[in-house]
Order: sequence, then structure tokens, then C-alpha cells
Amino acid sequence: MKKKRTGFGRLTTGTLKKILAPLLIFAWVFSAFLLSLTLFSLPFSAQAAVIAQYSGGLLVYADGTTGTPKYQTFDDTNGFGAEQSATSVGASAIEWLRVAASPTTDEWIIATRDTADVIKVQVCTGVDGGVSCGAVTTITASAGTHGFRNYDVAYEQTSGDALLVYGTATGDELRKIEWTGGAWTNDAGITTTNTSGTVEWVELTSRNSSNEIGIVYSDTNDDVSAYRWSGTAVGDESTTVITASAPTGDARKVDVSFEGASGDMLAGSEVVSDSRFAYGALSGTTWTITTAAGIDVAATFIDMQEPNPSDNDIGVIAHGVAASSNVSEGFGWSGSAGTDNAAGDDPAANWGATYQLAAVAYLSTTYYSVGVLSSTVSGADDIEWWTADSAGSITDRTVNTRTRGASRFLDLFDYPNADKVLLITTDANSDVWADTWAGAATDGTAWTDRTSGGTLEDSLASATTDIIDFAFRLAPVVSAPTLSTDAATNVNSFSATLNGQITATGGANSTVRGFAWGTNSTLSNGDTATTSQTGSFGVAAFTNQVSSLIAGKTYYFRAYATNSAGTGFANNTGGGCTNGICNFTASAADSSVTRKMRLFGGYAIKLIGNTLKLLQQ
Amino acid sequence: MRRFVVPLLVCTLGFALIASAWYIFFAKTTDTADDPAADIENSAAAPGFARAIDTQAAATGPLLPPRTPPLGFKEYRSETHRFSVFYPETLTVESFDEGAGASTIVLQDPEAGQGFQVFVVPYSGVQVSTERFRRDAPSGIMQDPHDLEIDSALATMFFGKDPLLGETREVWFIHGGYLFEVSAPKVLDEWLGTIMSSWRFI
Repeated sequence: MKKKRTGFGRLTTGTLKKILAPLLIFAWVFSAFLLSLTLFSLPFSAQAAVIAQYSGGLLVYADGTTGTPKYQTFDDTNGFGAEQSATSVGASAIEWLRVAASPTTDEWIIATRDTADVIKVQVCTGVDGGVSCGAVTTITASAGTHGFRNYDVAYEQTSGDALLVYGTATGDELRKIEWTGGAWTNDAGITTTNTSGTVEWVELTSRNSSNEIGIVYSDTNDDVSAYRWSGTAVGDESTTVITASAPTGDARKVDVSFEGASGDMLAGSEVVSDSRFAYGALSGTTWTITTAAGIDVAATFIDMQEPNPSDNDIGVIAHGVAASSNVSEGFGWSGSAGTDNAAGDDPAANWGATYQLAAVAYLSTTYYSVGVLSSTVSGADDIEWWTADSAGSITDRTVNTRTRGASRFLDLFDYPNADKVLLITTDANSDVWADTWAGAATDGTAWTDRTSGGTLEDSLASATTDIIDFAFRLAPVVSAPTLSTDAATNVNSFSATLNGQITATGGANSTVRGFAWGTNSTLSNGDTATTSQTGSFGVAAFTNQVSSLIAGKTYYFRAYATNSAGTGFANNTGGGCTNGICNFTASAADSSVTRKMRLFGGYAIKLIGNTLKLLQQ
Repeated sequence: MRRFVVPLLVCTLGFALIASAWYIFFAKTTDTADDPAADIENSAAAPGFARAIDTQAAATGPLLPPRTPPLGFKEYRSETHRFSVFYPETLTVESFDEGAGASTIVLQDPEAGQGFQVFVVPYSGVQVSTERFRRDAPSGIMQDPHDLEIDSALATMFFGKDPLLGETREVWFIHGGYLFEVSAPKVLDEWLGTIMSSWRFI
């Protein structure tokens, strides 16, 4: 007769297998599920790549979403990132947009002007690749009904403060406001003695390795005047108008740049009446204001390259307005006067009339500048271009064909530390395109399409106005410092010297360094203390002596340092250390030390009444 | 057979649980006793001495800022031994490094016949051992011992005898991994009491 099994008796091997097998399978499946959750969540964080210094940047534009600037991060290796939204500036459509990158910190300023004639700014920071834009600040709610870009923003290249200069609806009112210490401040009017109309156009350019910023503007009377921001004040106003007959179109009609070696400033425009290049050159505090036969067309648009870091050459490109004579002109400023280069693009007729269809950028020490234009000679969607050598001589380059809509706007941006330029183009289909060209390449080398045949954006709010801008990251990418902890030295029963070193700064010196130490091996509970030294610390070894130890007790310690990106902890293993935590054991107490009565040493002591009498022996 | 196996398993399991609990409890409580230095300094506590209020934990937090002494006094401040005391400004201060982390601080005005000394020695015990007492007070005399608090430490004050000073007032206490032995001639008992009332651990 078979006995009925009860209690543990039921747990035969077979029964156990029946119970455990499904349990194990469940555990395995559940673990796999958890693992997959973890893995699938990784791409979201993996997307967060830091915008690289000099080869990465921020493309900002306005698309079909009214009032909300959009941006894409750029990386020279991986191209453009996904479109993201900055802070909305309101219900009105954005008409003009500028972006500037801080040279010192992970910060970008986006400045917009909308159809309600309101100029607003927002400051964005890019942390781990995800750019976060702050609240919008209204600079002026009445920028004027003319609808031109009468504002610009630029950073001081040394301090990291920024300057925004703008016009208002009020006649002859030019103002500035400063971004300093994380706030917009010192909003004040700028005295204008050369002009009397309403400010229509403002252009700013930062001088390399300086806090100076060039300022040039034009007004409704087509007068052009200029200033130089010293880093603390607007000054050096041009002694007279640079021209009183600047172009009337809504493309950029004025520009300003600096000679890289001398630091002299060049502000320029065109003289509509006789098709000449009008400029004001500021050397020291002396203005030279004249016109040069540098432009032999009735130009509407002018662009000067950003300052060459070490040379006085400034490439200039301009193009005209009338469809029949809408030609482009490129020439070089060589520290004195503009040179008209017949070999330039004089015969190249542009497509649009008042579009920004040309740009020039500093390139390299081989080709001082590169100019790009949209031309009827080749095709409206092609890249027609030239380079200027160190003598300012311009050479036409082989057209790079493209299959895109007819260009409506283009701009060039030079890589801050490479012989390379980035070309941003918008076309008649409201598409946005990007190409790069490396200056080390020779003529005929193709520009590289950075959009992989697709568009960066296919519904730009306007293809013909400056509602798209780009800025390379200038500030160093800072990460937490890297450290190692080294074995303790001078260990005795009451004190020890802790040793560590910063092995990599992470891009910025640390302001604090020290050790966490205590008797807990994980340095995680209440008996953990920290030492700290404050200062500016680069790659170097450092020590801290700790005392008040308990004889015979084992102590654990780990080096740390803090910079602007955060705190880094040592993570080395080996030599008695694990994950940056090393340990030592305070020596056993030295019982040989005994008290010596040193009080009144060298005196003979007598007690007289209740008073001590000491006699020197 | 199964009749024996089940109770055996239960017993084994129970024993293992009890053994684990015993191990965890005693492993914690005997942590200090595993310290060889602690063995020497705790095994034979001298009679009459108070047991330290704070444990032997070394003071590791940030130092307290300097204090403002009353008129006619100065602050003596030892950041190594983490204490501060106000003393009459007529006293001169001299510090002696006795080696192995021990120090003697002498504050005295021989002309006025006033002074006291502080002997500080690293100490891992929580109570002064007989061995330590005999080493530092060879006379072995401890008269009229009383407990008192010096800031946050429980101290023992007593009258002792020194070959040079004669009868002494002694105040001994343990704090922050150190044994403090404060000594002055017995006739300065009241005077020393005023000074010790200003003692603070920093």
C-alpha cells in the first residue's frame, strides 16, 4: 500500500525539480526583462554627447512652430543632432535670430526679433549635450516697425560677458545692455552724434583674445556709424558717418571686423550712389573714414570675415541688388585699403535681389579667407566659391554642384581651431543644408555635404531672412577631474600623511581638493571626515596630514577634487587600494612615552602659607 | 529515518541562526578588544578613574573658530589636540614635543608662583589603566578622587604627589583619542578650577 506523503516527505527530487524549474525560468526571464529595460534606456543617455569645443556648435533657427526657436547640436564627426526646442518667445513669428557662444563657459545666447517688433533673449546651457534654455528676457517691446535686424549680440572673448546693442522705435535711439554675472544689466542709451534716423541695422563683432567688440549700425536715413566697446564702455564713435548713402534693402548692409595682428577695427558698408566700398578704419583712437574702389557694383549686402587670429587681412564679400546687375564682388582688406580683384567674382550674377547670398570666412594661413556665393553662372543650388591668399588675391574655385532648391540665404562659419568652414544654406523650398570644406584641400576638392542628402530642416519659417544662425562652441568642455589615491606615508600612532594626485584636470582647474577619510571601509557612514584645500589646482600630487588617530585602528581614505563640472573621486586599484580607497593602520600606541613634570622646571619650590615661592636654581 | 532527519534539520538550522546572531553581536562588541593597544590600555582600568563619556573616536570634523577670551586672559588653542582654554595673560606658554604624538604644554608665571601643565598623549582606551597611572604618576597617590565634566568629557580630579611640585591637583580625562593630564600645585586648586572651566574641545 502506497503511503500518502506529507510535509517534507513530499519534496522528492522530482517534485523539487517541478517546483524549481519554473521558478528558475521565471527568474531568468525576469532578469532578462530587467536587463533589457536597462539596455533600452541606455540610448537616451548615450545621445547626450557634450558639444565639442571648436568642432561642435549650435544651429538655431525658426521653423513652422511660431515663436519657438529650434536648435540642433553639431559635431564635426557625427553631424547634426535631433531638432529640439528652445524657450518660446511668444505668439508672434520670429523674423530675425542670432546666436552667440560664450568663450569661457558652456553658455549660448539666442536673441530674437519677432513680427511684433519685440527683441528678446534667452540664455542656454548645454550640459551633457542636452541644451537647456532659460527664461526669456524682453530687451525692448518696440524695436521699430521697419522690420530690419536692428540688434546684435556678441561675447567679450576674454571675460565671457556679452553685449547686446539694439535700436528702438524711437528716432535716433541706439541702446546697449550687458550680460554679466548671469544677469542682463546696465541697459543704457548710446549717444549718437552722427545719425538722426531710427536704427535699422546693427552688427557686432568680437575681437580675438580681447573684451573689445566692434559696433556698426545704419539708420532709416541710410547713414552708417560705428563705435568700439572697450569691455566696460561704448566709445570711439566714428568721427563722422562712414557713409550717408548705404543700401536700402533688408539684407545686411553693414559689417565690422578687426585686424588680427594690429587690433585695428574696420567698419564698412557700400556707397549706393557710386558703388564704392565705404569704410572707417579705427587705429588706436584715430579714425580714417573714406571710400575705396573696392566694389564696382551697386551692392546691397556686405560680409566681412571674422578676425584672422594673427594677420591683418580681412576678406570682404558683397553682392548687388538689381536682377540685371546683381553681381558679387570679393576683395581683401590688407591692413590698409581694399583691393579690387578682377579675378574675383565680378561677373557672377546672383539670383535673388535682397537675399543674403554670399558670405566670407577666415580659413587658414594658406587661404586667408574663403567666399561662397549663389550664382546664376553655375546653378542656383550650387556652391560657387573662391579663396583669397595671403596677398588678398582671389582665386575662383571649381563649382560644387548640388541638387537642392535655389539658394535664398547662406552663411559661413569658420572652425575656430581648424582650417575648415561650415556653410549653412537655405533654399526656396524652406529647406536647410550644410556643407563643410577643409582648407588643406586643393581646388576641385568637393565640399562635404553634412546633411547626407537630406535636409536639416524642411519648413524654415522664412527662407529669405536671417532666421537661422550658427555658433561654434568656444568654451572648453569641462568634466570632473580625474584622481588617484596613493599610499599613506609617515604613519604613526597618532597621525599620517594622506597622498593623492589630480591626474587630469578635466578642462578646468579644481578649486577644492582633499581626502575623505574615516574608519569605515566604504567611507560612507558618519565617521567619515574630509580634508580640503582651496585654491586653483591643476595636475599635481597633494597631501594632507591627519591626526587624532586611534592607535592600532585601520583608516580608509580617498582623494577627491572639485572643479566647475563637479567632484571627481580617485578610482585607482592596486597597491593596496581598491576603487580609489586606500587604507593604513595607525601604529600601536607608544607606551614608552611618560609624563615629565615640566612645570616650574629650573625652580626650587617653597610653600609659604598658601603661596608658592619659586627660586631660580 | 525521516522521523530523525526533520528534527535534526530544524535543530541544525536553529543552531546556525543562534550562532550567527552570537557572532554578529560579539563581533561588534569585541571590535575594540581586538585592538592590541586597547588591550593594554583597557584591560586593567585603574580604580577611581572615570570612564570616558565619548568613545575613543578621533575628532575629525571641522575645527571650531577661535574664541574671544575675557579681559586679562588669552586663548591657548591646540588644533592638533583640538582644545582651547583661556589662561591669565601673565603666563608664558611653552610647548614640548615628547615624541610619539605626546606633548607637554606649560603655562606659568614663576614670579607670581602660578602655573599648570597639560600633558597630552595618544590613548586608545576609554579609561585610564593602572599601568598608565603608575607610569605618569609614579607615587601612585590618588587622594579624594571626584568625577567632573570638562566640556563634553568626563574627567577625574584628584590630589597627587610629584617629586618636584610636591602635592598636586590632577585633572585627567580622555577625549578624541588622547589622554589629557592637567597638573598644578595643590595650593593652586581653586585657581586651576577657574581656568579649567574655560576648557573647550574644538
